[in-house]
Amino acid sequence: MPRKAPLGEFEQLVLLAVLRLKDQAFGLGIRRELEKRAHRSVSRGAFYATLDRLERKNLVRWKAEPPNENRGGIPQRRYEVTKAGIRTLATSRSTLLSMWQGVEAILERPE
Amino acid sequence: MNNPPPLAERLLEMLLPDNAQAVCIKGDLREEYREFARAIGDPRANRWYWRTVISTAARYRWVHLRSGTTDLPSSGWQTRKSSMRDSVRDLRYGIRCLIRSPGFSMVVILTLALGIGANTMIFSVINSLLLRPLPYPEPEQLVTLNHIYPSVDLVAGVSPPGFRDYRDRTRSFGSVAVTREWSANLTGVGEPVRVDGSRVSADYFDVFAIAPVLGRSFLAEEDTPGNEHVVVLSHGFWKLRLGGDPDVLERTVLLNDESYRVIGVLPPEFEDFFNADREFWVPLALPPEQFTDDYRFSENESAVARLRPAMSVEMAGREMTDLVETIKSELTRSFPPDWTARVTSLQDRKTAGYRTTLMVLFAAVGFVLLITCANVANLLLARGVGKQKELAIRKALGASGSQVARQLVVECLILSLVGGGLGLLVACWGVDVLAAFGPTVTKSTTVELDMSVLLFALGVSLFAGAMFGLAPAFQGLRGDLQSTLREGGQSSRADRSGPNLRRALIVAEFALALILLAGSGLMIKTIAALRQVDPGFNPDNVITASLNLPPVRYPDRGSRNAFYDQLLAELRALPGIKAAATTSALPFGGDGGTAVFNVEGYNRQENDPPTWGEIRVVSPGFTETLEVPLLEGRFFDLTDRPGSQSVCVVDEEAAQRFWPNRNPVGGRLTFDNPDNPDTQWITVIGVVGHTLHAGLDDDIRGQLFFPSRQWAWTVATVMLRTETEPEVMVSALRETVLSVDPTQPIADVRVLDKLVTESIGNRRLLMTLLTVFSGLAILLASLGIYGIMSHMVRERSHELGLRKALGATQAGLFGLVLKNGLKLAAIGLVLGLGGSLWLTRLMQSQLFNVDAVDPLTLAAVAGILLAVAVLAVCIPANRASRSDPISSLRAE
Repeated sequence: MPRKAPLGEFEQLVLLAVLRLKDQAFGLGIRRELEKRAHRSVSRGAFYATLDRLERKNLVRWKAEPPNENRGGIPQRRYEVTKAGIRTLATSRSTLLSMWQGVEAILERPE
Repeated sequence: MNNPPPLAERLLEMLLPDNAQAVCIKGDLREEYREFARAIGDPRANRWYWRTVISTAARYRWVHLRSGTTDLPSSGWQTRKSSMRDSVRDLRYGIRCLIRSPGFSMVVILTLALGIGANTMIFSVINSLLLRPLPYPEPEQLVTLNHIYPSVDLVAGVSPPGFRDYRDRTRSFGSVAVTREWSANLTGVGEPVRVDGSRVSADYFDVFAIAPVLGRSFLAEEDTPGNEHVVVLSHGFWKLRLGGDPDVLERTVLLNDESYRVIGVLPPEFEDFFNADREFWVPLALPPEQFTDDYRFSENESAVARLRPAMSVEMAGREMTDLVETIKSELTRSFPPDWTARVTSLQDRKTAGYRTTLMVLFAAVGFVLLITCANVANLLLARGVGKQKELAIRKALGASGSQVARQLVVECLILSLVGGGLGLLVACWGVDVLAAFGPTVTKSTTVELDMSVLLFALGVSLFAGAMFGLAPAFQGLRGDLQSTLREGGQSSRADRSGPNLRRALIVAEFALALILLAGSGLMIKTIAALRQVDPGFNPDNVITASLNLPPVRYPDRGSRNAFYDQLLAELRALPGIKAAATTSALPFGGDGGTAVFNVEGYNRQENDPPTWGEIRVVSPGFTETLEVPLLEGRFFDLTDRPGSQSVCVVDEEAAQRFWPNRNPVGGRLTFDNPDNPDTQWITVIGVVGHTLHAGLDDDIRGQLFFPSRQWAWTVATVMLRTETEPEVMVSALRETVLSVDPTQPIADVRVLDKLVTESIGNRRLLMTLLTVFSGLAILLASLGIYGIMSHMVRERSHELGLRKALGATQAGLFGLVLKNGLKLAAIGLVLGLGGSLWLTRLMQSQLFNVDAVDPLTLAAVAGILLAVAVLAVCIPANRASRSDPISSLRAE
């Protein structure tokens, strides 16, 4: 059972990056996707710790894949978002959308 | 393709937790590193990598810490690290188990500490004396050369012509050198003092492949008479006696009143093989006439050689014996027919004196260790019976057999490693005790606990852990789950292997203990026999010191006699002195000389002893000082002086050998060719008792005494017989010598009875240690048999109670238990007797007047062990006989 813990912003971004990359969601690639799309530098330590946390919350799972030539024989992890992860993302999205309703106009004309 | 700096990767592994994500991070970073390295070059990528490793690990740890994650996910690959984690868990659990039963753990650890400590102690001595290579480059190439005479069991040095031939006419040796002990009075630097040194041939340091740290070694031309006033100093001489003078190479030193120019200083680590106390070396500079065949058997030099690469000691030995045969065929003078030569490796020569002692001790401590292991295994098995239930529960909860076994092995390893650590302490302390035995085994080198000793201790601990851990682990693997649980922790009837194993261990303990006890029994008899030996003189209350008159100041017999006459007269006048004399060789003092001579009227037959014996130059008063009995004729007095009739005194052994069935007094002998008309004959004027010289077990050889006033050697040992404690006379002796000659130092101050005691020091050490070890063995074996019999009584209390209820008497039950226990001891004793018949032979060379297979000793030690076994078994047997049938039946 997924825990009903609130999803942090960074956790959401990581889950979205994994979804975007589909079957190419390897550790390094996810971090690069985050940096590219979110225009922010991502600390490696925090990133891997977040993946651990998402795994513990049962929102992502991973499979070991054979290493590519650059890894010197060390296998890599391919992540995917679990069903619980997708449900949590959906809940999170609808919560956000409902909260955003009616306030979007403020963003368009800031005082 | 390049990898990140390995050290940084190791750091990453250390900093990250032990989980699968860490492996992933490492892989990702490696991938990034390679991209960076291609883009910006290795050095910058390396710096980047180091920074990233630290920041990533720190951040990763920090984020987890802040979010309160303690158990990081570890699914994924089963890495080697996870089995490591299992070991850590086993370790923790093992420590907890051992702490839970502190009494048991203490007994086991202390037993092991004794066993491992004894082994480490003896190994550290063996390591220092036998295993550590000599401190010279390529030490295995170094050999000594000796003349040997098998018929009289004599090993001699080499002669000057021999040295020349072995150097010039062999192909085995790269270099050959000779050396001769030469201590000299050092004057002009502080107080006059006698310093040990030596005369050496020019190649001496080349043989050892040692180069001076200052200056140079000898040139060939310096090794000739007239050019030899140069000296090479030890580092210690330079530093301590000359204050490390930087201009030492421009100095001269006064040795025996002659000036020697310093040409070199040796490195601090150099120790002369023949005498570690040597502080200086001067050229031997033999005069040319000494290289003639007249000197063929003046075997006063110690020879050392370096084998050519790829030559073995055996090959060199064959070449040497062949060469001696060739020389024999060339000789025009007579020669001893059994004369031959021997090549010995320097390492063997160094260790010859104590190899047997140490090997016997090593075997003995090995046995002690085995007994220790057997005992600990027994204790563990006994406890294992109590632990059956715990193990069964663990298995029932899903632990595999191998996991349970591993847990047991880990417990054993903890015990053995802690025991080993304590054992090291025991060894440190033991080595000090050994050293306190005086200059015996530990004389020639310092015994220290170095890396190899530590490794040995670790190895022995692991070995012990495996030895005593195997049996219980095996038992843990096999234990029958259901029956154990059903029986509520009592040992299962089905599992009989444990008790059998325990009985076998007891048998082994008794067998080993008997072998040890037999060894110590033989040594005790040997020491007792040696103590009975009469050395032929009274060593009590005699103090001795050696003197060396510089030939420059005492060039002739007149001046030397004047010195010694005055010295002895003044010493005899001192209060507390009963007698005083000089001798050229002190009994038990470690030196002496032998010679071949001709006896008038003695026609040697084939099987007769050769006319060869020990030579002593002694002063009047010798017999009174050592209390040697005068059997015939008279001893020397002041009338035996230069110019008077040449005389000598022989001992009873020489009298019997060379003047059989007649009185030797009035007989004559000579060192010259007896057929020459101008032969100088020496007349025998007296016969004295034989005095042992090299040791209490010395071969008896004939001895010839010559008057010091006629021979007038410069070197002599002064002996004083005192009325009370001899040590108090040392300063009076020194002052008297200085009053006769203010620049004359004394050296080698020794007390005679200590020399006699020290001569059996190795054997006493062997006896003491064997006795201690066998005592330990008896203790452990009796504890073992006590333990197993008590356990048996407890285990069979039901049966015993039933027997009693059915009418068995107290005596009957007592006898039953006693019989069971003694059966084990008896089997052990029989096996041990067999073992000791075989093993004590190895000690033969250490025994004296005792046969290695001594029925009396064997019977006695078997009796002792049996008595100990009876005592140990009596306690549980008694308990069994008093057992209350009601309560033991009710307890079921």
